[in-house]
Amino acid sequence: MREFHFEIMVEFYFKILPYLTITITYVFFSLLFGFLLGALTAYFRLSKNPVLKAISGAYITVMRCVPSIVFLFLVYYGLPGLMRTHFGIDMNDVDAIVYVIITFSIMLGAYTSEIMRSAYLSVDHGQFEAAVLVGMDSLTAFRRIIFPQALHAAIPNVGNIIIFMLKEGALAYIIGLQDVLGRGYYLNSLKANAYSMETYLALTLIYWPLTLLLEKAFRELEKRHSIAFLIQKKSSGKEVKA
Amino acid sequence: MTLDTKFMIEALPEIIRYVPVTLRLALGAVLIALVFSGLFAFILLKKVPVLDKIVKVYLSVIRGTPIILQMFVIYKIAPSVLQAYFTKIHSGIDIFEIDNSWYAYLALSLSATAFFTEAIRAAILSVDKGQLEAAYMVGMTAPVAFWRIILPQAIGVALPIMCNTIVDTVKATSLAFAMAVTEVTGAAKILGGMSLRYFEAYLDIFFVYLILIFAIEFLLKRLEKWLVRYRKATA
Repeated sequence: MREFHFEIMVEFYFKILPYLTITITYVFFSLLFGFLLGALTAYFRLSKNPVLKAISGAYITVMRCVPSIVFLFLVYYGLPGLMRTHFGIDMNDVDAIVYVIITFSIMLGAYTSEIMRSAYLSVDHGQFEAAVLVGMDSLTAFRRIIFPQALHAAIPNVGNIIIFMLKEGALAYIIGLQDVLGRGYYLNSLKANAYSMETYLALTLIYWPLTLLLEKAFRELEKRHSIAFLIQKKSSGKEVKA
Repeated sequence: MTLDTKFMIEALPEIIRYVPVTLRLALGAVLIALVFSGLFAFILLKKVPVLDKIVKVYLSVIRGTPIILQMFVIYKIAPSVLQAYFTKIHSGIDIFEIDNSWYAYLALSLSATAFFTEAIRAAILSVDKGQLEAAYMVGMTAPVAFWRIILPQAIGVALPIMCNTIVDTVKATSLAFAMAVTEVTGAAKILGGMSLRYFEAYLDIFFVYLILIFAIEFLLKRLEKWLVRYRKATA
């Protein structure tokens, strides 16, 4: 085996690190649009309209059954043609990150809708009835009674989906986007792939701590958002005031 | 955009030919993962010193990095490590004659092993301790109690997560082209490249994966039902 060049790894690490902004950009926007689409899908799924229910159900099944890479290819190779012939929009100058965000927004829409649906269903329906009984209108009841409890139930899953997106987004290197993995791939190929081990270790040292940090943050968030913790905080706050 | 349906129909049999490769990759990875995850879960549950630390770091790294990066690493390291080893023992095996699929099995099994380990560990912990004590009370030995009392109950808890992992592994085989293994996605890439009809080729595999994974999910659900049939008997 060839010897390991530590200094090359350090050099690559710091050359790749700035491209984390690209990764964070697509993670953020994919999640944003994904959650909007997911909310709509969950709403359809829980509605009584059988057509909407069937459409959202089919959408979720299709997204669950197709690998992300296949869907990314479909969007990357299909969307420009579709846009040109049907809407007259030229997508030649569009950056690769746009395709990544479109792909993963649509994929995450299906995943997040399941998170939201199960979170919503985890809250006892009696809570809603009680809220309406004490005179809240249904929107207020949802906002003040159902939503905070559903949010708490969803926290671990939201953490998982962010980590999923962070890792799955790395596939974007295939359509030529230079995010963290893409930049590493590019730097390595500039040196005729001679420093693969150094590159891969540098990449691991970027992705791994980031996921650890996210996992820890969401565990902490879950703890802080638990009902027991909130009650404790409230009662201790009262003591200070008194 | 005009869809070349003629090409899509012509390409479909060429692509379906590679479905067995995809299934073989997933099955191989799952089998390797089953063996190692059992071992790793045992190490974690028994808190074997040093080894349990290593397993924990392994789980953390695998969960924290993209699968594609794991594949790059295996594809890069495994051959050179093996070559160094083979030269040392003078086995005379040529490293370049080993089929790339073997590296793909290994790379795909890394994350499957991690998720299986978590599932098995959590499932065994979920079985009430009193069950084991009761089994001892009626005179069972530890292995018998494990096989007949703990394991059947733990399987019911672990299966849904393990089935998800199996489906994820099938999906992950689509990345095997990064290791120069031609499976369904790789075939579409080649066909698309030869005819410059990428979209049509990928649309083909979109449907192939849809049907394939839908069928696998269905079969796994059936298997799950069959394996936890004792629940019905007791209910």
